[in-house]
Amino acid sequence: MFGLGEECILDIPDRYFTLENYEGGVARWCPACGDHAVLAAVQRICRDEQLPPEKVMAVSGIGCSSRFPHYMHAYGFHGLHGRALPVACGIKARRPDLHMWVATGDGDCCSIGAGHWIHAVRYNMDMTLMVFDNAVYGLTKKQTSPTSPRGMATNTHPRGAWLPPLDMIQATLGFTNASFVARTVDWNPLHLYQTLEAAYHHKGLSFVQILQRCPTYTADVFLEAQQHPDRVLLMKHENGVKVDDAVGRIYKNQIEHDPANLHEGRELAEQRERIAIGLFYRNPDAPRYEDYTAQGMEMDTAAKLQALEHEMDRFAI
Amino acid sequence: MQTMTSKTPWTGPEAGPLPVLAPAPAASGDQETLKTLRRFHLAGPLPEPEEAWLDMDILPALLHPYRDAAAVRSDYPLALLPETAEPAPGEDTAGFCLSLPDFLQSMAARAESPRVLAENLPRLERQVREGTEGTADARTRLAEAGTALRKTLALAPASDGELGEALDRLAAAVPEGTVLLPLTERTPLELFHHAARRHLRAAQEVFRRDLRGIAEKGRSLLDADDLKRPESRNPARVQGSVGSVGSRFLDSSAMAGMMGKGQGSGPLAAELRARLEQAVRELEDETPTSGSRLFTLIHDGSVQAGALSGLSGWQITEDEDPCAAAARRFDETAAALADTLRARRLARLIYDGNYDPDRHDVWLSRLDWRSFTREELQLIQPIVVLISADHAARRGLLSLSRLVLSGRPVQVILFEQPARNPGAEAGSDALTGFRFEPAYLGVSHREAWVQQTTVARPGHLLRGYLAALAGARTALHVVAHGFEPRGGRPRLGSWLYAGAAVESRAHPCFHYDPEAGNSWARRLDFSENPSPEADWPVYPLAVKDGGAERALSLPFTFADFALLDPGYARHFRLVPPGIPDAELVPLDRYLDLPEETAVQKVPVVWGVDGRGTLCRMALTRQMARAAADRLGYWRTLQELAGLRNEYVTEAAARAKTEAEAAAAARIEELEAAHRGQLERTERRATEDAVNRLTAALMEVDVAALAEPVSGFETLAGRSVDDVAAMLLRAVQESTLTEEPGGPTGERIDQAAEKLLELIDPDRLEENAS
Repeated sequence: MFGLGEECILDIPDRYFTLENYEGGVARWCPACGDHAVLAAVQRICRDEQLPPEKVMAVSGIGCSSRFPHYMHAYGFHGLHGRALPVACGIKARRPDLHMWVATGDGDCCSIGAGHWIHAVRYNMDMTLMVFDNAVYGLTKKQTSPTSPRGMATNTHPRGAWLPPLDMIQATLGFTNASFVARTVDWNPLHLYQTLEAAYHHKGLSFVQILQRCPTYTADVFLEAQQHPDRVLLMKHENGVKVDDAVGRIYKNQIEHDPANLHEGRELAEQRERIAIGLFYRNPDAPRYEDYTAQGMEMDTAAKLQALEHEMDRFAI
Repeated sequence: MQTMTSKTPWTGPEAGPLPVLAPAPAASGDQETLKTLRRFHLAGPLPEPEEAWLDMDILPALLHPYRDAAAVRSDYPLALLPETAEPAPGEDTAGFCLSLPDFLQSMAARAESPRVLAENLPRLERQVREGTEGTADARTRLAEAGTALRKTLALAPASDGELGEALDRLAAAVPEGTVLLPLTERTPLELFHHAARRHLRAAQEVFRRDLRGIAEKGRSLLDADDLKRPESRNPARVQGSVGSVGSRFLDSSAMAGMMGKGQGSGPLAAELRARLEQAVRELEDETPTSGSRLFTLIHDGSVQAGALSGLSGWQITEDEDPCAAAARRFDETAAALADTLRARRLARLIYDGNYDPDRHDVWLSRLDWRSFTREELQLIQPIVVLISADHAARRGLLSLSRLVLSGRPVQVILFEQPARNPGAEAGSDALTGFRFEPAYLGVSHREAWVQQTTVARPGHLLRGYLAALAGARTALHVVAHGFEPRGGRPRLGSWLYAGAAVESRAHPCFHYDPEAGNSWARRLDFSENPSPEADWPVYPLAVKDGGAERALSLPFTFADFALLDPGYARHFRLVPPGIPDAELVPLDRYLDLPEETAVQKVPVVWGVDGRGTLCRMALTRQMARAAADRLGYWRTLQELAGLRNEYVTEAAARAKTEAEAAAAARIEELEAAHRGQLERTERRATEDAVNRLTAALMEVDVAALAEPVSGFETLAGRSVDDVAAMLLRAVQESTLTEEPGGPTGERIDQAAEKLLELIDPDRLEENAS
């Protein structure tokens, strides 16, 4: 800039947004449900980044988590079971300017939506994919989900889930073109906020597994991790999720992990000794599909017609 | 719509369009156009500016980001805090004059503002800036701006309530009496008044205390003298001294009769007492501020009358020779003060017992401002001369010089137009001839305090005012106030215009303080200028070139600054795209070309038009010469400031050459010594090896060898010396094939082999020779 200094230009947007600007309907989740924490974190991020509400898009499938768009004062799409990601990718393909938050669950994403999950990660379109993992189908009253722990009694498995649970982090790390894979917990609001903030700032699809308490159906699933922080392994790095001092004081088991190291990220995901939280992997240079789909958006109608005619002329006889 | 993040600084428009380099047409190298440009450059300015050029609204390229004046964040309005009890002359201005952003930050910190206010401080700042047209009370203005802000933001009730409370606390944190001062033509005067009032109050407070002290001492001396007089030894006086209680125990009549028999010092002489009484009366009645509290402003009429009206705290007069009028006014004011100071000095002398009429009366009668101490001079209400550069260059030059040389501590404020030449003849082009530099003229008077400064640097301006007020000599303040003559506003606003003058070297900033020391290094402070060591400041400019973004490094020259002045539009001509760069040279490089090369080139500067297209503009030779003149003056100042001193450069080069030569000689000496040492060591090693081998061989019992070595028996009868010589030769021959410094043992082995060769019976006689 000119020698007068960068601070000599003050281009201020006229509008200023507070938390109320992002508050939609009153959230009707159960008291103590972890979804409240996620909603609050996302609203805080929108406020901190001063995102115009009309530029925010929340897309969901079916499940408790998928009530999310109703409670955000933003544009939203509450879609079909398992179909949050194709809707989100479609919107992003022609509206890359929108800030996309996808709210899905362990069942919505990893079961019926699994096919879309794989390719959405591969497409790597710029959005934050939040998987509210409560290890159960909660909205439909306690059916076994892909992440239900072995032996957990549900309505569909009264004697306990028979198969080992799907590890969505391990799975995502194995998908082609994955660019951001992280895990956090809802009962530590600071780590939750910092993880989602890092996910928002990442350019690409940010996959975030949120271990989310369900006080009604799976109150005990994460109880040990809640009550014994030494069961948690906190990953930290200057390129990872920022670790606040307060978070560091709670989780004493910490490991320095460079998220650029995919192999190490996979090892950390695979180990079962502790629940690793933080950023497993990050690749800021992975190609994004919207860079392709949004081509030509700046063209006006006349230019598009001209381009079409030019192409058609090739077939003229 | 742009988004703003709370974590990012308030920066320029990221999404704003970058200037675009116009693509060159297919058929480039238009020779006819080049000839036209060359003719334009050499022939001089157009009769009228090109209409198309005027329509394009071209700005200097580096100022294109500031095209939207509403987005420019200047220091103004300044927040002038009220006088404190103990201001120190010359102290840093922080604390009593703040830029608006700093002021709001400071008050917000005091009020412990919540997030909703902290994040909206820049918006509040904009509201304050937009709504402040004249000097205003800060609390009131903040309250108004806060109300407007809340209306604009239209927050939800909870947040709006929180913001309202925070704004109330903010306004309450502002010290009572703080005013906001926008940038107008009289801002330099307002700032001077604020600085001088603060400075004067401190000095007057100290002086008043001193006067009271001396008056009290004088009064006590008179009282003591009273007691020594006969009339004080009457019974009634004694009874009055001891009181009613004492009267029960003492006989006042008897005491009165005894008093005075054994007294010590006598009473004061009548004349001396009379003088002391008069002095004490004057000290008790007179205060340095009992006269007018107004500052005196005498101007030459060059400033619009409306610009001075409403100035409070000044007694304003117009005079066609303001410098002479100021000198007279100063003498009158000083004479009035001299009476008080005379009484003060007399009282002190008498009290201290040092008064000698023969010596002191003459001195006291001649007391004038030249005898005042520095502290006494600063008691005089400031007298300010306000003149234009034109006045100083023409009819006022002699008076100004006389005033400056007189040393009277009068403040001369000179308003200057950096783009104009005050010394130009009336009716001539302002670029003709070399420029008259009033500040340089001031410095040439050697003993005046001089600053060249600008309203775009209010801190620099204020520091200069305070330093000048603390001094005891005439001060000349050459100020670029950013306004055209007769109150016009330049393009991009006064603040940017004044700042651009500094950047372009049209108006370099400096302080010259003759009391700081005997050398230029002590006297001249040059630090306020951007890139003081370079000819021109250079800045990056991001541009779009064929869709890709790249950065140009552009200097900001005098010609760039002149682009802001519509009066110079005739000196610029648009260069169509496609003209080869070889013929068109950027002005900064053009000025460094040898003359024989320069005449074949056309100097250009970069501009950006209203549509955001980068374009080059050719300059007339007059404009290029004016830029050269500015550069020459700038280089002179650099040299005086020690930044570009050829003497220093030569001395440094000489010292470097000498040091290198000395180092080379030393290296040569050391190498020679090393070589000698090496040779000596090799020789000693060789001799040592030979001696040891000889000794070893001499001890060998040939007869005891199982297999006598052929040739050994031929050594029989040979002297030790012969054998040693043969050994030596053997060793030397062996060393010829070996690296220097090789293991001595190996060399002995080799020598032994060589010796055996030498004592070969078939070759013995030949080898021994």
